[in-house]
Amino acid sequence: MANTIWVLVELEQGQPARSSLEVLGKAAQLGRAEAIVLGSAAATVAPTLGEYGADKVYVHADAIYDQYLTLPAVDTISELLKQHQPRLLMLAYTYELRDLAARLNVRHNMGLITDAADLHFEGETLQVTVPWGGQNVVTVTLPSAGTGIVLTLPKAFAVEHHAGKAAEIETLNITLRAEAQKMKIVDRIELPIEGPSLEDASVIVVFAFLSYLPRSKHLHLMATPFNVFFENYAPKGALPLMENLEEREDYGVSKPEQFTWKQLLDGYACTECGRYNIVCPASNTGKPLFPKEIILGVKEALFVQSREILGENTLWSKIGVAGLPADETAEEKKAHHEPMVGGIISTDALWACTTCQACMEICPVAIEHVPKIVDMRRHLVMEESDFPQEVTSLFNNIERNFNPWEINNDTRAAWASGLGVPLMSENPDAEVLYWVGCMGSFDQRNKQVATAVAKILKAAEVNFAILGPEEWCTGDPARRIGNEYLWQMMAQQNIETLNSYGFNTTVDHSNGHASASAVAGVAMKPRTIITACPHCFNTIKNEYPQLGGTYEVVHHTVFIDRLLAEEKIALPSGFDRRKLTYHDPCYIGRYNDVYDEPRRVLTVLSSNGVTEMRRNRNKSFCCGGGGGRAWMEEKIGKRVNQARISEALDTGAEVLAAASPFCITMFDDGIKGVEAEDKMQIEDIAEIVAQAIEVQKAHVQKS
Amino acid sequence: MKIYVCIKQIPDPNTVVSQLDPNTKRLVRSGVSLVLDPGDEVTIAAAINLRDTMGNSEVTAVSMGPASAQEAMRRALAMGVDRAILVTDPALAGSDTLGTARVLAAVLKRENADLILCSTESTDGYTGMVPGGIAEFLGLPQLTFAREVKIEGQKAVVKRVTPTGYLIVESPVPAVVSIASGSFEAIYPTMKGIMGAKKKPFTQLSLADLGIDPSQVGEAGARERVLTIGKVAARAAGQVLKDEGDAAQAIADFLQRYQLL
Repeated sequence: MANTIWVLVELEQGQPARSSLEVLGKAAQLGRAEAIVLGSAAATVAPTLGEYGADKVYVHADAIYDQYLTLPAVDTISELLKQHQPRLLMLAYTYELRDLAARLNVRHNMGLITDAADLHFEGETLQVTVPWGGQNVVTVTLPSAGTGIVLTLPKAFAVEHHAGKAAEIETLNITLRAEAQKMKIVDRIELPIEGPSLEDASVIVVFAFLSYLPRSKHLHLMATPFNVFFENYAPKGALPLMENLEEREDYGVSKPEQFTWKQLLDGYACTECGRYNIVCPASNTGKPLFPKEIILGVKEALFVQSREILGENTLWSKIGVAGLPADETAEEKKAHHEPMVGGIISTDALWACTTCQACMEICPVAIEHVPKIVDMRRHLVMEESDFPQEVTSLFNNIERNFNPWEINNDTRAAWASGLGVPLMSENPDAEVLYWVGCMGSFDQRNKQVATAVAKILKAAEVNFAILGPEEWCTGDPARRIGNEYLWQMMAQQNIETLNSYGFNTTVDHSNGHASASAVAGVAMKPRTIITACPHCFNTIKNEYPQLGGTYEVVHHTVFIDRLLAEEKIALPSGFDRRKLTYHDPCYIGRYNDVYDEPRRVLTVLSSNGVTEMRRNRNKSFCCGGGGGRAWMEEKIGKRVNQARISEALDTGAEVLAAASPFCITMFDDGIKGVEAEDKMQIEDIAEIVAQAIEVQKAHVQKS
Repeated sequence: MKIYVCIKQIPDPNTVVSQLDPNTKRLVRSGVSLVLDPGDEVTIAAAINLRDTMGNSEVTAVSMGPASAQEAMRRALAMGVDRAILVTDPALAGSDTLGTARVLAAVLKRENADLILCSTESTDGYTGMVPGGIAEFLGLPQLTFAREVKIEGQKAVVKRVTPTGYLIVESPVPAVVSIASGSFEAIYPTMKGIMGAKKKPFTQLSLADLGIDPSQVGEAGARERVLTIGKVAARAAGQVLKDEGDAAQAIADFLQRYQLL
């Protein structure tokens, strides 16, 4: 006997839904097709369903089905199931029918298969084909006793036409329960398509002393000598470590008193010279960030809130003069309640910073703008979860995938397949670790740079290896955006990995034996980490020591310069006849004073030498990608990368030599923006060197 | 108001190609990166928004899963959920949507939930059958595919997504509401949230605690049986059309054949 299959036919504006007719056609192929049609138009639609394959149609014409979702239809089918036992209830995959299936399944303990692409019976056994996970096809069945539910995928079947077929019609005599009229459709809307902290006491002393002084710009006359004297002598590329992350009360800075006394002294030292105007990539492209305003904003916040901060601890109270001064104006009172972050200093200003340090480099009184900006970002990220929305996926990806993208980190070494590059796990004695970085490992354009670096190392017969999946994001973008927690998570894991291969250059005396390398019996000679990413370079070199990882790290341009000096690679001198200019990446230039090595390499290669841009070396103008900006949208003002590209084009150079994957990405985008792709190539120094090596090789072979 | 949000830990849909174990015919969960379902992050945000607008409310996350699911629940707590209840029991392995709905409904009944939020569907199974199943077990209305939820007195009002716009649908509370993906902005946990999550109430329940017979859930209770697992057939080579004046007609015929025109 043929299986009976029910199909609930949905109505759309009084017509049977096409998706339902597709399912009805399939049901007719499988057995005896019985349609159920409910709603005010049911009676007019029912007689037409025979032509789509129905042998029988159950009809209940009632407007309640149109006004209330799901439950009236569930009740009616439940009633029908008390009288009949079809083999299957087949449903199209629509919102309403999915809801209906879920409830019927529970009410009658039916068994249910969703996402069916096809189904048939083999003897008594139902076989339903379900695509699964993009790669698999699963065959699923339901018990042969009782009625089961199958929801089929859209467009799985064609509408069948059974010309002239008439279905038997049974009009249902059912009273719909009031309890089922719960989910009421009220309206239908159609849319057109379309730092180191100091004891509190000394901070109070600094405040008491300074708040006595006139609140004018001339205050700097007194403060500047102190500021230069107390200048930070830690590596300038390092942000201060945030200690005891798990036990702290506060994260970052939202109130002026949370800055260290040295940071506050900056505000007093500022001469308001405005020189940053010439150099700041944000100020220069119409962003609301003016580095001076950050420093003065901190000072202003301190002034307006000084009474709250100091309480009774003013100089006046200390020397016994009470009640002075009570001259707070209405404006001051209002400012009193304006928060520093998001008030006196706008969050747009904080997010506009590329952390390029040009302002710090040019500041005549050694003010440190960038660490303050990052401190306030830390507050926004770690205390307020208030940051540009697009950064959420960056954080999640770094945390889960150990790279900034939705890419499985297991594929980190895929770029090197076929190049004969060993992993550290295969070559643990390698003298040089090539730290590829996420951009070199996963970004299409920068994989070419990674390949060039590998070719150079091979040509120079360097015993090197890469970490592959053992390498995690260094955490640099997270730290610059203010997510210290995520940076520490990444850094700790990387330090553990690097130490396990014996790269740590410090000897650990605390537990009575030498570093991991000696323990593992690996040679003790210092081993080098090289990287083509200035951001990886800076954080490993200057910031990993904060967590106990001290390494010999060099940027690839420096390493290539050394290989040339040691004559490990021979290059055809002056082989490149194109006119070259060079862009100093902030994180090797200003952050680490690497200016000469890249230029020396280019000078060997180029017959024309290096044509300098208007702003170069320590005055280099950022590409716009630092400080996590590469991961944020640039919604305000002109684009930084286009501003820099225009400067490069002004030199008339045919090649813009770069030394950072972020610069390359920003410039590739910028040059398209100014429609000058045909005027200038953007190449990493490693790529130019690798080409020269190829030329040399061919030359040697010929002769 | 006592708001509940049903959540699930799944293999990271962004990096893991889900696999089925040919022997158990179940999802492979070991050796892969497991995360809180990204759809649930959105639903949690909806629940927290509601709590914060209404005041005098709390949000509880409920999940069924292996012990590893604790990690996903910690994430929910870090996002701002007030407490968590995890049902974990060896007998639950292999549960179908009916079994899952049965277990979650049992917890929600004990808790006298006022409002239950679920994601429209999980990002691993995609069946979307659990929210309606819970509603049926509890005899509650279900407001599904919501992109906005409001509580107005004793009514819940949602904007229900449709293929061409939306419906405004209302029902009495208590009710089950399912949230359409992408309707709310997921909350990135603050440090205070992460640290505080470790101290928030976390309850773990077994089937016995809920008085559910193991035969009604897990593989024993599932009606569906996987017969075979195969690979998708390799796609046949496409057809190249060279336009000699009749290409438009050929393309139209092709689309017609697949009912795309």
